[in-house]
Amino acid sequence: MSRQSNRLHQGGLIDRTREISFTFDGRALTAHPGDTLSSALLANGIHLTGRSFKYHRPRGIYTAGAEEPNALVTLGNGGRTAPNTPATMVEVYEGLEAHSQNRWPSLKFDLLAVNSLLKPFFPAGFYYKTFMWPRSFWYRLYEPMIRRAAGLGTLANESDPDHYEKAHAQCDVLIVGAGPAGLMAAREAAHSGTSVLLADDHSFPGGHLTGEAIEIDGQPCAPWAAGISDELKDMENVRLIQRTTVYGRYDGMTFGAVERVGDHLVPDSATPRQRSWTIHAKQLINATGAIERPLVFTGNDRPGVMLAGAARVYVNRFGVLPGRNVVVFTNNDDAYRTARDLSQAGATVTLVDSRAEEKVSARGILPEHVEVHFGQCISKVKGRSHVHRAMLAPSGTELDCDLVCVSGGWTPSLHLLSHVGHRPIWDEARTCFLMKEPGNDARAAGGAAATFDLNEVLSEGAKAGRAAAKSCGHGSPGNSKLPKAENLPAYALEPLWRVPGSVSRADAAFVDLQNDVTVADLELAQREGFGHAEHAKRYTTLGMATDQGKLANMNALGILAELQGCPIAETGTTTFRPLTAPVAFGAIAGQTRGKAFRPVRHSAMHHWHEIHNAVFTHAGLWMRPYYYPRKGEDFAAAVKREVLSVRSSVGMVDVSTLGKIELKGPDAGVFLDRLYINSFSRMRVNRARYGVMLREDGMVFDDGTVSRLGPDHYFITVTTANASAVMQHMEFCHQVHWPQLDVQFCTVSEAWAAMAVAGPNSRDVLARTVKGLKLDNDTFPFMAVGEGTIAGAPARIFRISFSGELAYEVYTPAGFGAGVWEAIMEAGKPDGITSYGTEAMTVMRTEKGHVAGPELDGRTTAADLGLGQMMSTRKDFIGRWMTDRSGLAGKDRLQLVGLKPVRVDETFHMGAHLVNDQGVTGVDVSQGHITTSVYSPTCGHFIGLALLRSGRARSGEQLYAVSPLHDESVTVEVVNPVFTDPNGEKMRG
Amino acid sequence: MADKPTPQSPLKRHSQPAPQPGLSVEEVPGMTQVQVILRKHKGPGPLEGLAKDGVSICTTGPGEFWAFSEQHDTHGTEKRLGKVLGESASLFDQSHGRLVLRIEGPGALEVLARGTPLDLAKMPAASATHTVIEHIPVLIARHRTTGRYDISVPRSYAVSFIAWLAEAI
Repeated sequence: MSRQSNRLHQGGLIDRTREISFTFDGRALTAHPGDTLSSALLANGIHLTGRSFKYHRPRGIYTAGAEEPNALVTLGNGGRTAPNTPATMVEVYEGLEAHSQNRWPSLKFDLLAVNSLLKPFFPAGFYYKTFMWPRSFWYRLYEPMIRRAAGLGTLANESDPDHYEKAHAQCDVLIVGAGPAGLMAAREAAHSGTSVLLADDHSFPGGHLTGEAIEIDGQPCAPWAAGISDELKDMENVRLIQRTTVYGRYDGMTFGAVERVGDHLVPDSATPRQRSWTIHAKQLINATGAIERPLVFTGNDRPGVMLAGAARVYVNRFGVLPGRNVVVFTNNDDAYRTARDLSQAGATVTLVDSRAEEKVSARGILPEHVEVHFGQCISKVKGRSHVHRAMLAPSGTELDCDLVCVSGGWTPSLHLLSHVGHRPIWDEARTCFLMKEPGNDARAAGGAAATFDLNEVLSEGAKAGRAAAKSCGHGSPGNSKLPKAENLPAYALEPLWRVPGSVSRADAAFVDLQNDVTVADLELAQREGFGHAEHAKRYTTLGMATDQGKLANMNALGILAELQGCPIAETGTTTFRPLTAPVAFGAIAGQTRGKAFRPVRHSAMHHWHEIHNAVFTHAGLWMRPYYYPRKGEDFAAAVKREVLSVRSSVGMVDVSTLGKIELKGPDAGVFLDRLYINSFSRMRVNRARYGVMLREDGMVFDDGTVSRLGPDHYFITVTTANASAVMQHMEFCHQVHWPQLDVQFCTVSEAWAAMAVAGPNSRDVLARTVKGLKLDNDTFPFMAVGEGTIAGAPARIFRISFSGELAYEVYTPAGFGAGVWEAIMEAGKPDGITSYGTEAMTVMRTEKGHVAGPELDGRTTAADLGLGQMMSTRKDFIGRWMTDRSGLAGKDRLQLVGLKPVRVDETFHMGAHLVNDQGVTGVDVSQGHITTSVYSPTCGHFIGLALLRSGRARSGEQLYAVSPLHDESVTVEVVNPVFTDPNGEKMRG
Repeated sequence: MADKPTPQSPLKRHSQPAPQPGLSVEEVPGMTQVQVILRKHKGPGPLEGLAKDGVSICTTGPGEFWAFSEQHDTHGTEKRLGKVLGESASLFDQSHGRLVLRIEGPGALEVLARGTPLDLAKMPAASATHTVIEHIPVLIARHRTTGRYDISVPRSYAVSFIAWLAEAI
């Protein structure tokens, strides 16, 4: 166990009374509650945390926030492996296991670091220029090889054992960032009575105040922030969510956010790891602050180089001294506070300022002994695995050091303001892009608006809160007293996009640390004609890593502008798209994984099917019995038995999944007449009829039955697959086409359980169970409808047949479904009643020549399917006139036919094409295709339905059914599609 | 003639989530639910009188209402509705098609917010709204009693819904 050699004796917002253990690359280390992984590593004297993406250069901790480009680590192991996690955002917990990435065999000795030596040969675009021939090698060799050499962490191959939640939240004002601006905005907005949601990235509020040694209202800024936060927590109209990254803004003021609920805790099964929020707001206050810019000089990526603001955070928030001999390099006054704080913490500090002395106002805050080099830059740092010397230019001075803190100024964080298409505009005076026209529903405050004076930030935050509340219709609470912060030196930035003359081919000056893009790469892009911001980004991959160029983009635009000799405003800028930070797939999926990937639907009889050994199949979301194998039976044997049982005696199938729609009102009949090709308004009460609906273009949309239960009362069934689509179609027709019709309808699919009882003995079986309804053929003929009771439950009985047998469909309120099913099964025992599944149903409807989904494929007309005679000529209906188009009325259309193999032992497959000559290939030789193929126990051989060109006139013709997928070519004969009981004597008997 | 059987709940063989601090979930068995759709050019008529008969009626869309009654008497409920509505509306019995889960307690809103994007906090008392929770279409009715919600779930989705609920609470 190591000693925390760089931990200061006092200070920081950590719990020094407790020590926790963690490991990094297997090495046991200690930390304190409140530490991040990066602060804990620095406390233990560890800067080197990873290898770079392309050149495998040693890299160290560079920031203290989500923008970290270097210190990406893999957390956990097994299914909990979380690669590419910024160490700066990981809160250390007891037992945390972290590993460095992109190195082999070890972090200190990485064989692929040879890439760094070969860097002059690997400029931007190298891969695309080099690995072009032979083309086939790209997928097999080049890409896998490059992916292996480059890249970041590796995903686990195991299932993620953690669970994730989703949640929704609504608010008037969403404030992102609980720094000084966000806290003031939240307080002002909340006091006006508006509902506020304050989302903050970190574990406790305060933003950059948590890392500063500044006083507000006479007290240290961190406790001041905590006090405001406590005040907000006590307000009913405020919700404060910590550890939450708002990663995207979408249309309609909808935001995506991820709350890291359990990431800072020892993993367990009870606590969700993360919660994915969808937030709906009326107003956005973007108080996300600003991100410090690196300075670009040779070797600026070496471990031990760190942003100046980050070093301040490590000292003030974590009580960690990241270096003892520090050089601070800046082009602005802000970094002077870093020099001051490090010096006061015991470090020896030298400050290098690129500006002339007369432009600097912050000198006075430094202790006298801090040496300052005005008008100087760091041109290069030395030290492969850790900096040990900084070389100044133009003086040539060399400074020994173990930490180089850099500050190139601050870039407002505009991402959320830009996500819905607003483009940032360059502000020359403030030397940054700003969102000057963020729209009426969004505004920025504080650092995100390039306001860096703390008193102005506090004032601007309060103003933004009041304005947002007012936009939501809430008046001002009055002039609340603004807090007063101590006066700080002015920002006084003088841009420095790269240190002049610092670029050498031997050791690079990096612009994008995470994607290893150098100044030389940008120069190459410019030389090759890719100098525009959008082109350079894609040519060099600048800004395309997981940090999305948060550190790199601004310097790159400045360098490109210099290379082109034009203002930054003319080099173009890129906009931002969600996500602002990487989000785990688990958080996006939430509970929707595994068995909960999508809901399933069960009929009222599902349990009976389960205990009777049903094998289920998916029908949309429904789970339907496919077949019921008995001991020793395979699929084919079970289906054959089920079919023969029905054909010879009686069987029952669950058809609850059918869509069911009930219609009432005096115009219900007329409404149906206009929807279906046949007529229903003159159908007698207590009768049913098969019906077909067309789409507007004349193609068949759906089919089913229509029953008239009363003069103004109809009940229709539609196919399982189209249950929702037909309901939508009917709503559209009623609301748009015929709003004057007095008809009311709704889906009652869930309200009724349904079962079809089929077979020559079905009447006898039902007669034993149905009370209150006579079922003899005279009283209750084919297509009759009646009501009775079964086992005491009400039942609607329809004499309808899909199988071609004497058959009845029984509908009962769903709560009685299981009881009615069981009663019929019990009554059918003397007849050997069998339950049958969807496959036997398919076999029997095919034997009967009834069309179903495969034939209703959206390209067939009623005439194609042999249903042309059903189309009424005495009324108008949807699709009628389009069926007269020549293309739909031609004689060479694909028409429904039956098929059987010439040799009865041969089989053919659905999807096989029908051709005249064997062995001839090509799309144009197809005469049609097989839509359904089944083994028919009734016929004793395979049968099929097919759509064949001019098919009805080709009965008796022999064709080849060819399926190259199955390596199959079978001689088939075109036959009548009705294979059994062509005159319908069985179902009418 | 056999006695009319008791309707079977789709959750008969599935355990319901255990009560949590500040939250209870229970099925309201056999609740009568009637979908009411107004006829064209007809007003809804005075609906206030229904409440004293134990029928709560909520607007669910333009010209559409949903009536709930715990009296387990669809026929009686339809009769009472018919008495008030007369010829102005068509009634559709949905009692068997949907089970009702009553979620009650201070934690109810938070649990429901894990499923629905709607702002239920702003939902008026004694109102109902259609929404979707984890791909499941549901109707949420808010009682006059604070923190009490009835979730009307299509019967076929009951097992999936209860699985979501168990995870959510």
